[in-house]
Amino acid sequence: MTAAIGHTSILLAFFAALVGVASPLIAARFEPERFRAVARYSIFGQFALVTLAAGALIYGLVSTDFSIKYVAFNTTRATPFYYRVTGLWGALEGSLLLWEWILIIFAGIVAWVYRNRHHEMMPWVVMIFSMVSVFFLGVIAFLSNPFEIVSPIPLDGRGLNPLLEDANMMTHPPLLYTGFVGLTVPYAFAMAALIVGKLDEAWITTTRRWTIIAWFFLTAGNLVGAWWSYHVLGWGGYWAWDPVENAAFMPWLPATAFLHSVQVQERRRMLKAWNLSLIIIAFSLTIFGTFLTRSGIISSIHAFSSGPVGAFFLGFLAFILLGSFGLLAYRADLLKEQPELDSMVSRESAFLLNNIVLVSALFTIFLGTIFPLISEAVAGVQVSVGAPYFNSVTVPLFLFLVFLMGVGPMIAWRRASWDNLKRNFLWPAAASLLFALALFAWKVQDFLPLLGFTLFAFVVLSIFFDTALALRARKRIAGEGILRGLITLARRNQRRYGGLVVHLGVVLIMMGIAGSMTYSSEKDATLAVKESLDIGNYRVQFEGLKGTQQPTHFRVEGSFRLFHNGNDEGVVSPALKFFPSQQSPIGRAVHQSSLSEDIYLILSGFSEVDRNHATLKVLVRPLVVWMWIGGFVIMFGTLICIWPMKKADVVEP
Amino acid sequence: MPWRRLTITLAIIGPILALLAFGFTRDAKYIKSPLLAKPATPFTVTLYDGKKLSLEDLRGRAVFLNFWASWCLPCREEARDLEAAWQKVKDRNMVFLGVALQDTDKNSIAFLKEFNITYPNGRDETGKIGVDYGTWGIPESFFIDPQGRITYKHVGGIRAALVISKLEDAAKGIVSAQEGRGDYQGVK
Amino acid sequence: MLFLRTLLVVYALLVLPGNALLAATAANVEDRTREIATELRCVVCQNLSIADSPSEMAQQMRAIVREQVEAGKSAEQIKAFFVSKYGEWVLLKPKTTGFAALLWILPYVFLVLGVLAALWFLRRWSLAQKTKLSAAASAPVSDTMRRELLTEEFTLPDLEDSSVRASLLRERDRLKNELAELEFDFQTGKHSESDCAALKREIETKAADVMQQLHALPAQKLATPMPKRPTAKKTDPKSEGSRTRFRHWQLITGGVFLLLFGLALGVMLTQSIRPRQGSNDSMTGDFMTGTTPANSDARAALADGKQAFSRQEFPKAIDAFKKVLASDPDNSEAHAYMGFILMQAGHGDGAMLAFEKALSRAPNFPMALWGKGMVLYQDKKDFGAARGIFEKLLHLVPPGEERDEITKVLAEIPATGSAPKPTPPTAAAVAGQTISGKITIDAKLKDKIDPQAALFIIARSAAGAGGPPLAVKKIDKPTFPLNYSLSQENVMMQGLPFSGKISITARLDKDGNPTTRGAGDLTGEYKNNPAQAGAKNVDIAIDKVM
Repeated sequence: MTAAIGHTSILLAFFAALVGVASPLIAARFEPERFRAVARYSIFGQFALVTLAAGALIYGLVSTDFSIKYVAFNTTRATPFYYRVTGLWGALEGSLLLWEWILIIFAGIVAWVYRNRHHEMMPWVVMIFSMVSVFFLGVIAFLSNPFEIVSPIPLDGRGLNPLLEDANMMTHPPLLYTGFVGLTVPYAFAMAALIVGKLDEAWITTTRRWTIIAWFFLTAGNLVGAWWSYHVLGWGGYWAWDPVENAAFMPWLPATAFLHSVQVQERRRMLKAWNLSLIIIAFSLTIFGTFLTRSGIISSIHAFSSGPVGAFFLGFLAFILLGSFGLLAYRADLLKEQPELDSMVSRESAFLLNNIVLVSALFTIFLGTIFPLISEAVAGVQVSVGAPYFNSVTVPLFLFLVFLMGVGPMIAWRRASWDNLKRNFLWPAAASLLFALALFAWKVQDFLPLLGFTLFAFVVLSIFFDTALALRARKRIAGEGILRGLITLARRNQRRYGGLVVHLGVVLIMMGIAGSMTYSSEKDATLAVKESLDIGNYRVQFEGLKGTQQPTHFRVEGSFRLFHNGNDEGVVSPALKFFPSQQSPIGRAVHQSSLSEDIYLILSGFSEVDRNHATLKVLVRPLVVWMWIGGFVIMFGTLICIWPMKKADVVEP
Repeated sequence: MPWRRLTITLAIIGPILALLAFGFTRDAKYIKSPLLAKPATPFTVTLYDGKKLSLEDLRGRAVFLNFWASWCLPCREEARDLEAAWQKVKDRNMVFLGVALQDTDKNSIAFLKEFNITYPNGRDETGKIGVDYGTWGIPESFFIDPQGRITYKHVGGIRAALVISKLEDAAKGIVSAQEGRGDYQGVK
Repeated sequence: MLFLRTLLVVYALLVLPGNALLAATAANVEDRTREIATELRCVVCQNLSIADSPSEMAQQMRAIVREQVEAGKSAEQIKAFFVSKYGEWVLLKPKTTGFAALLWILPYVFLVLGVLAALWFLRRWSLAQKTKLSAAASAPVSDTMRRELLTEEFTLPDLEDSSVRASLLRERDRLKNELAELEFDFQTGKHSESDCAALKREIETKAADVMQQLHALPAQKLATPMPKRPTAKKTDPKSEGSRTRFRHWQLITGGVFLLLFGLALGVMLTQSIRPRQGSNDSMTGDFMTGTTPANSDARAALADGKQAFSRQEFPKAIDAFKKVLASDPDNSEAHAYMGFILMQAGHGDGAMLAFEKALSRAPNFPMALWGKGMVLYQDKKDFGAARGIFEKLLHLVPPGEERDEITKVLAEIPATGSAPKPTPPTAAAVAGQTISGKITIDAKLKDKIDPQAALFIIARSAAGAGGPPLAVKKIDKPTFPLNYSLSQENVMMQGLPFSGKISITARLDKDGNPTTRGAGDLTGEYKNNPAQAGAKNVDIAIDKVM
């Protein structure tokens, strides 16, 4: 019954989506006003139907309706309630339904909010949404149907992949998918603008908030993924440069570039084709990401079981790329522009350089991700491109980016005078060099980390100095104190100060990465009871093992007493979980965080014979906490950017 | 219509799409072995009956070297085939040698008893023999010619007919052009 | 004395630095091993290095690396060794020679070309501008115009309005913002005086031009109502022409929602750090665990029934199973057990029916198959069919004690002919899943009993190579002598059969923790360990102190 409801809803939604694609085309040909409304109603219809289908699947999961194959494969009777709900996106079919659901929610909101505006563009926006929806609904309905029935009904389900039984499973995929799907909004508007031929700033201004929100969710999704990897997976790292991780990160780069270069377009009316290309690439990369995860052409820890779905994703990707760039070429005459730039020393140049660096980073990561394919196809040699490569190649790029982040605030639009620039540059630069000397004297004596930390300090100081100068100006003009001045500045220049706070957050994240990448130490040892291990300022003493039977697995916990600088910090218990379906146990590491460093314990093994010995791996990772703090700062900065303000207060467009 | 721009865009997108399509034609997890036609690394293994056997002792005969484990399903499926093949070639100048990977004596001996395996088998205690032969999947079979060169590698379950035919090739010193593939799973 | 002491000192001086040196090289070995390990790819896990991977293969490979490092091989040699076995695939950092060199070169090429291209374009654009600026006449801008530009409040037309007037209005707005930004940048010291003045003049000239064009346009109503928006006029005076202004209640709702969302996220995230304490610990507590009372009752009833069956309390078992079947009429396990009870009572037909019902839902349920086979064999004497069933069962059961049982029965079938077996082997086979007996405390230790202690009855598979025990049963506040029984349901790990030779020990544990053996715990074991599964009178006397 549930399955029937779900499957029928999907089919009906599929047909509604087809109508949504067809009606603007018909409207364009025959000009009846009705067809435009039909397109909008088809979105609302799809929304209702897909929500019904998703609800049906969630109901099936929660009530452990094992007649549905998807439920039987992803839950068991013993699975707790919240993991049943996360089963919705735990496997291929359900995750596609989740993607479609988020897509149609976005489409519904866009169709509703703009129902009385943008009369020319909206039908095409809706058509693009329906087009993407047709694809996903088609795949769900005909290729990977989550509502397949299984007979005879099994006694108990197979259960979620044990690695996914974690609280982060509840946040990471939805956040990330929201980020991916969110990029469909500017893409749809861009395509609509191209189709209609209105290539001025209208589509950019409309989608500004949407893009920032999508960007935020992308950032949050990636950060939660890194947190999950660090906190749960038990290898002490947060980013493995796994192909699918790269695929999730890659849309972020053109999205960030886009957020910067649209500001140039708004002011100087240039880079139109560039911005359109960026948003097309960003959207295509989201499709590429899902393709990579579901096609099995590159081995990855995140890969879903592959099926025929992969080929269809490739087809859709080809359609998107060729169609979008074809449309762009078709409208090339409308995109001819007379770029006006007062001086090469201007913020426009800085933003253009920022774009180049981001696109280079994108190119590098993309090349590295598909290079195994290239190597096999062209040279017949199988190669691996792993973390050491990516780390060494992207670090210079990101350091360059940090430098630009520092220079950005101090350089003016249009024409910056060299003298002023030099003066603005001097203070932060001098202060950060002093900082570098202090660091060198203290501990940091290798070149790259020293350079990195100096640049981070440079950015922080640059933002600080710039804000101080602005506050001083506010004081001079309006007599406002610091707090009042800050609020006024934020209100009048929302995007600027929101952006500066986001930059601060990014710097904090990079600080965390720099610290943990260069100054981590690790040690492994096999300890007997009461024996201890020393690392850094810590001592870890083994106390004992404990085995308990959990609903889904057998858990062996090792108790270790932690001493930091001699102080007893209590007992931590990293564990090994033995699942009946897995050959090897799954580790559950624990860590204690402080602002300066984390200590991370992994129970690698234990002696089964006498249960008095445990093999332990201890990592000390400095500054990791700052990554998560930086994430919250970014969130705060994004809020400043998108907070709805009274129009009269806003200075900048 | 600016054809030049269109051509440039196509020239970039086209190869990328073609490359991704190429990705479908092969198995991403499969690791091709560089050991074909190379000399087989010598090793010594303690057999389950207590004797020690090294690869050098088998010089001058064609060798079928099979890596397996008791917990591996495809190994169970091929076990009877291997024993049957052994029975057929026992009297020729050929040897079968099985090496158990990542296993315990108790389980491996039980496995051998279950399928009535009569050819010599031993256990790789440290995993070095496995790494010496670049094993990543299980079961994996190697065919070694009388001069000690690897002539063929097969990842996954192998049928008796193929075993015998490749052994005959090995006896003649013919190196196969490519590896072979069957049902396999990963090592632990 | 002095001589000895100097000897000692000399000895210490010689040895200690040597030790330090040794320690230094030892640390170096570890570090070097780790360094090399981070560059080799684990063949089992995806995309992890063998340093990070927890798999067995990775550990073995690490051991090989360590061995080679100790033998003095260089990193290059060790990596080359692995490449010779696994191909270039095993290197996480691709080689810098050969085809992979492209990988190292292209990113930098791209970056350099990109930066150069950007600089080239920037230069071209700025040169183009320079010519334009100098050509612009520096016409004086009137004060009135300047005032109008800066101070007048005006409505921005709809984005979709593409009339000339609308685009002029938008241009004016853009110029106004540009002017304000210029002012801001100048205040914060980014423009020189001359630059600021020049740019200001340019913007104002442009603005003047736009304003002139606007005034030249035929007069129109300021806000031409668009067809489908009758509400716009109404809200015009209120909203001051701004569409982005939110009413207070909307802001407050938004704020409250964000706060709740942030709280929820924060709580959930911090909860995920908290270690779970056991099977009962879940994030939503007992609320919404998804099991309806009926379900949990059924499960409890099933467990009760099984327990009762193992203690041979058949009436109680029947009640429990009936309860299970009331809520779950197709429960295979309940049917199978009922079948065995009926067989015990001699109702062969009833038993057959029960087993058939069990098999209807789960056609490969081993217990039901065994039962059906037994009925056919003993009651119905249908040896052919029984054979068939047992052979099918043989294929389903992994090698072990149960398999042997089945083979034994299979072997017996033709031999017995038509003589019915007096003792029902079924009960034994199923009850063969239990061990029962009595536990007593030695009189000498009666005063050492801790009233808070818990009794653990631990079953270890005799054939097992250590590790966690096969089954454990805990009895709080035991009273002696105590009758106990262990069966399949006490088995710790799902899927392990409670059969074969099993060693039974008992321990009166003071701290209630089965894995720790503290001083003062009382233990004892079955004299004739290991016992055979299905044995009765496996009596244990607790007579030792730890």
